[in-house]
Amino acid sequence: MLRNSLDAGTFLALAGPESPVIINSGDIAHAWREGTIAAAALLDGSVLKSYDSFDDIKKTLLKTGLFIQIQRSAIANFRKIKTVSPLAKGNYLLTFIGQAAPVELNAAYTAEAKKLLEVKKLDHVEPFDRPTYWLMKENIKHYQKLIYLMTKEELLKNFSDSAGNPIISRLIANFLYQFALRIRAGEAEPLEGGNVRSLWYMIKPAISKLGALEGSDHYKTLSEVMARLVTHKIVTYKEYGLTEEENWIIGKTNPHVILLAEKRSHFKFIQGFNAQYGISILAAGGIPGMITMEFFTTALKKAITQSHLKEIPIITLTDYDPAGDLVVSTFIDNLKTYNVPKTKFIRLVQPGVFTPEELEAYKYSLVGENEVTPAMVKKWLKKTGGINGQAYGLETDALMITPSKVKTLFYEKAAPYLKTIKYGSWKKIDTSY
Amino acid sequence: MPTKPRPVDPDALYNAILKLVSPLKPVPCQAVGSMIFINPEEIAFITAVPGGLDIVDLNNARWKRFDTLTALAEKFKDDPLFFKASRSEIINLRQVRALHMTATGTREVSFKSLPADVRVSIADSSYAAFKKAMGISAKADASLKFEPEGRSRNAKK
Repeated sequence: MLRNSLDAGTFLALAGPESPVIINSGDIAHAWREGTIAAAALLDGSVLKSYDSFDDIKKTLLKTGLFIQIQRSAIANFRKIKTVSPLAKGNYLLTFIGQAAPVELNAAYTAEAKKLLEVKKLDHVEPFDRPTYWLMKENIKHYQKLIYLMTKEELLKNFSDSAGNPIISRLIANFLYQFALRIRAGEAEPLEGGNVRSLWYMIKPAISKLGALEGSDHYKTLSEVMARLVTHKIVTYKEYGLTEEENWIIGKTNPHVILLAEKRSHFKFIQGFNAQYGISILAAGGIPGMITMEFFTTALKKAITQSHLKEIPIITLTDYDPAGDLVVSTFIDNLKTYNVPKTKFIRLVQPGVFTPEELEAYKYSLVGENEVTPAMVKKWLKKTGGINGQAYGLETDALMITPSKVKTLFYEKAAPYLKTIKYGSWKKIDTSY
Repeated sequence: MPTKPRPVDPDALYNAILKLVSPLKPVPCQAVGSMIFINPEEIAFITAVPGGLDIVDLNNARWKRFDTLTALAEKFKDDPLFFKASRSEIINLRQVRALHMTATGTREVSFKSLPADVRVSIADSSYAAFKKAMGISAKADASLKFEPEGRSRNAKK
């Protein structure tokens, strides 16, 4: 390659099979210490040893201005870097033009690499467009023909791996994106009151053509792909015209205070808190789905002010166990996805609110629980202390046995965050559950 | 008697090298999970697409950047052989193979090492500068003939 010759730098004599060979430094991808000498990986994939010490070779090559230190005992020709990929702990994998083996760039040497490569970040280009990046990552492309009308051959041509096996998640991602684009362009109508299953019925025949309906639950695949596209802000549930059950209400006077109940059956009960304090409530029924999060946060953000965003208290009526904490942590993570970042987790159900006798009566062992893994239990125990340091949990209903206690506890926890305390009356609404 | 070697005009030498190698550093582009560096002289053209730019290399591979075309043109200003062919495309004059006139009267270029039907349009407002840069004389320009339909797979289409 002509560029190699033009930015050559210098000549080096390295050890050939029989005698010294003269190498253009532009043909070296990287070099490293090997015992008392250096080894150099050339762009053609060969490796040659030096006669001189690594320190001497390093000095010569760094002087050309084309090499950078990448590890304590390794340097690389930054002009020959083809790709930079992030690894763990701030390290990066460098590949080179030609055949040279890849090598790691240690986190300690990234500043120099950024400077010479003239990039602000090594993780991605700048400027960076996250949704477009995710389109690439999901392998979403533009297809002229409607995906759900494609023949089996067309589907296989567009959505299969190198061995010819169909990649259903890719097919679904492309279908969802194509449908969203058509709705945005006015070429297709939103589903008006449909749910995620409505989308499934649209693409199911195409998946059937590929003979992929049996064996895997591709409705689940669609739900997962959809949630991923929504999380990456590529599509929204709303634009498809989808609706959800709306087990939530945004508060009128204290919308920034959120009471999250794990069980859907508690929705009626927590409506009392919404009526009395004007807070926002959500009865998730487990981990709230992305569709619920989208609708809930859209409405929440309309109701709260910028000052509310400084701290959003999430008061939880969730089980005191790893699964209950997973509901809350996922809820909080998803709030972040929708730009509600600063939250504070305040739990109502915890050992401290029960007498020792009550604790003894209500606690249940987390060992052998189907919903959680031993690793989750261990982590949760370390974080919360369980019950007296033991792997025991408490169901929400242990507290719900005494609704007045829930009301008192809630007020105690919520009072510092309530802007207006008296809003409505609890009595006006039937909160029995 | 041997002739005394004449000193080389540095500008002439620079221009000669410039036709082969770009003075620009490799351009970082986004690939899935990594950044890829493309040598500028290996770029055939750059085209604006929804969400950013596609950099099309000599292997007809497309690499993503998220700048505007104007911002990238500014970054490429030190290499006079990158030519803004229209509001949505920059071409690398080093890689231009031929000039064509479509059935509808649009002037398009094809590229060395790319399929002949991969083409980029030259906007009428850019054509005078393009002709000058590529040394297209009035006679050469006049010889351009309308092509039958269907020859072009314009990069934008």
